[in-house]
Amino acid sequence: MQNKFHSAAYWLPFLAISLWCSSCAPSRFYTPNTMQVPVLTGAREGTVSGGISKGGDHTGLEAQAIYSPLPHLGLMANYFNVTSKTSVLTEFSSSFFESTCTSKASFAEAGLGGYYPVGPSKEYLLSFFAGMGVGKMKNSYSAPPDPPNTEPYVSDWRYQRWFVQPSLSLKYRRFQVGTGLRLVWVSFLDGNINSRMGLFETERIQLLESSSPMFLTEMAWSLGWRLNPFVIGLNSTSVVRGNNTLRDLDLATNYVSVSLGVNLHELKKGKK
Amino acid sequence: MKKLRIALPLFGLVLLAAACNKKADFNYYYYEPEDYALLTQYLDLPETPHDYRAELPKHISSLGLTTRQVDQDKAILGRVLFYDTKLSKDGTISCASCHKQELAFADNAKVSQGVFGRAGDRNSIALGSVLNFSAYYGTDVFGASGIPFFWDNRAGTATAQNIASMTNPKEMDMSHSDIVAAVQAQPYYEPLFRMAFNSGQVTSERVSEAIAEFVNALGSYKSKFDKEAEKEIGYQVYYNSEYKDFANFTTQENRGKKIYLDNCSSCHSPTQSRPAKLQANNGLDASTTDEGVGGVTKFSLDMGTFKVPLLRNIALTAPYMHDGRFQTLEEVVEHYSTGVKNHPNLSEELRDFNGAKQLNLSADDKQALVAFLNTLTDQEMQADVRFSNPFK
Ligand code: HEC
Ligand code: HEC
Repeated sequence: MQNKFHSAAYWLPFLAISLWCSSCAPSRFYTPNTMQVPVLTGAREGTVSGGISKGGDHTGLEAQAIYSPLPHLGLMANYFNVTSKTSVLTEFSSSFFESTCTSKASFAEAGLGGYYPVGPSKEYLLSFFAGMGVGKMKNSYSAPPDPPNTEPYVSDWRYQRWFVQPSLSLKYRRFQVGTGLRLVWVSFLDGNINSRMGLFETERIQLLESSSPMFLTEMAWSLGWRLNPFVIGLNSTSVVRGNNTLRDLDLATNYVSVSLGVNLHELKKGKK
Repeated sequence: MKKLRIALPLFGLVLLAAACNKKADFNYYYYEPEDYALLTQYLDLPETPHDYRAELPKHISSLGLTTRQVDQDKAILGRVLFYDTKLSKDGTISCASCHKQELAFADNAKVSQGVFGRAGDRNSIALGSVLNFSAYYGTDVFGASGIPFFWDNRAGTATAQNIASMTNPKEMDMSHSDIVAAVQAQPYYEPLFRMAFNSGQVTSERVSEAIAEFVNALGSYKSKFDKEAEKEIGYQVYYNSEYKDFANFTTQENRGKKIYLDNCSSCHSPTQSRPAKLQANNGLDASTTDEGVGGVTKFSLDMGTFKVPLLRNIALTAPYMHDGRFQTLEEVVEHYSTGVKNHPNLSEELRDFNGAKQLNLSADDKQALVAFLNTLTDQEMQADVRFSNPFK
């Protein structure tokens, strides 16, 4: 028992590191949402939660749900809405200017997967989910100061993201910890790009377009504190690897969120 | 349960397969779609706009010349204004009427014809004779070292120059309010002004600023001469001592280059970048027939002196001199060879102890000099769509 608690505590530094790493990589091209690490033990269990997430320059709102209709089978749904402000150095009419880009993205995804409790007292949960989501992103770039008060230049696009995520979680007393790997393929679909926001930025977007579908490996840690029927969560999601192109795009890499969840099955138990 | 365990990974694989063949399809636009639809009813403007940035060749930039920034939107608007005949009193004349692209933006008439067939006073100046107006023209940016406009250097800035052309009764004959009204009457100017100035409001200053931006974007630096000089960075340093032959020049052209460097470059510039002298009298007449710069400054020493023009594209810009008196380059060369008149203000470069210096070139030398002048023609500028007539 003591050991297990230690193992949970052992994860904390990673979480701290993730928090600390929250970099200022811009999130106007792609921002990961919080990865949902399932903590299920049987059929008819479910959790809904809402959270606020924060990364370098972005703030997100999240809603997540997971439900198991049958033993070992789970369904999940995640919704994510993120806003960010980044400063973009670009070139327009052969002069450089610093534009402020306000990005808004919303994204919804659904997944299906299996979970398998393991361990001597089934306190560990192995799970594997896959799914797909769609989102749209809109970036408004402030225009160069000359001519003054120009309307921002807007570009927007829709995207699609497929994911496969193996994960592992552990329940210990009032705590639950989890970690997972999420492999994602982000495909950009149709977009309208106002090239007046400047040459450099247009070139970055062309790079984004040409690197679609873009493959990313993401990693997550989560720590939950159960106050039945509620769960208070602290989560971190980061993009751990991208190829060179993606590095040039300087994508948002890190995300930390706090969430409040309700375990539906605990609610029912409470009523009984 | 077993089935599910097999089904799940399969499900994942199918998803992946589907993910991998999606192609992004971004549409890049510069003009708002409704603006573009309107503009293209009248104008041939590419959806991705032309790039009006000038990049000087190294043999020029190594002299320390740089270009000023050209505002893309204003240059696009300026191009339309430059070609728009509605900007003239009788609706027949635009800047391009006297500055024709195929003639390196010169006119082949001795003196150009303005509105109602009115004849002008002087021969049109080839805008393509200049390397790039933004690199050294204009007293607004370059102060006293900035080159002024016109044969008599009377306009300090590109805006003052084009306002003068638009309001000149012998050219376009428009008042400031005529200009505004003419522009406002055309639907295609609203989006262009909005993009260039952030408001559709039309003023004659804005019209002038946009045209100036287009004129500043004009550039000619891709002649045979430039291509050779580019290989000889530092050419300007030893032009006086070494006269290094250019590899791809013919013997005749190299000979002409040497004659040019010896006798002409002290005024017209060895690199065809910035004239070595602002103004001079080159002995066309023995006494003043046109006061030239003197008519503006009223100084007696300026009487009969004129801007020293650059000679880029000179083969395309006949007739020559401020009054268009010479029809061919041979006549021009003959003038410097035997025809220089002893005007009281004749420039010292063209004087010797006898008064007017005659170069007395041999027939071969004359031909060689003309052959060299022909290497200054920039075919690319004549064909450059960025500078062409945008009207459909
Ligand atoms: C009717 C013929 C005519 C029209 C129309 C005309 N020009 Fe000219 N342009 C000339 C002549 C002639 C000169 C030389 C006049 C002088 O120096 O007195 C000249 C000179 C110039 C110069 C000076 C170049 C230098 O190296 O000094 C520029 C620039 C120029 N014009 C641009 C324009 C623009 C822009 C417009 C339209 C707004 C325009 N012109 C309309 C005939 C014309
Ligand atoms: C003293 C300075 C000076 C020298 C030296 C000189 N020029 Fe000129 N050149 C001028 C001036 C000034 C003009 C314009 C005169 C005018 O139109 O009244 C001119 C005009 C010209 C023109 C006509 C340009 C046009 O656009 O119409 C040509 C061609 C020309 N020169 C060639 C030469 C050649 C070739 C030589 C050498 C043999 C030479 N120049 C030497 C000052 C000079």
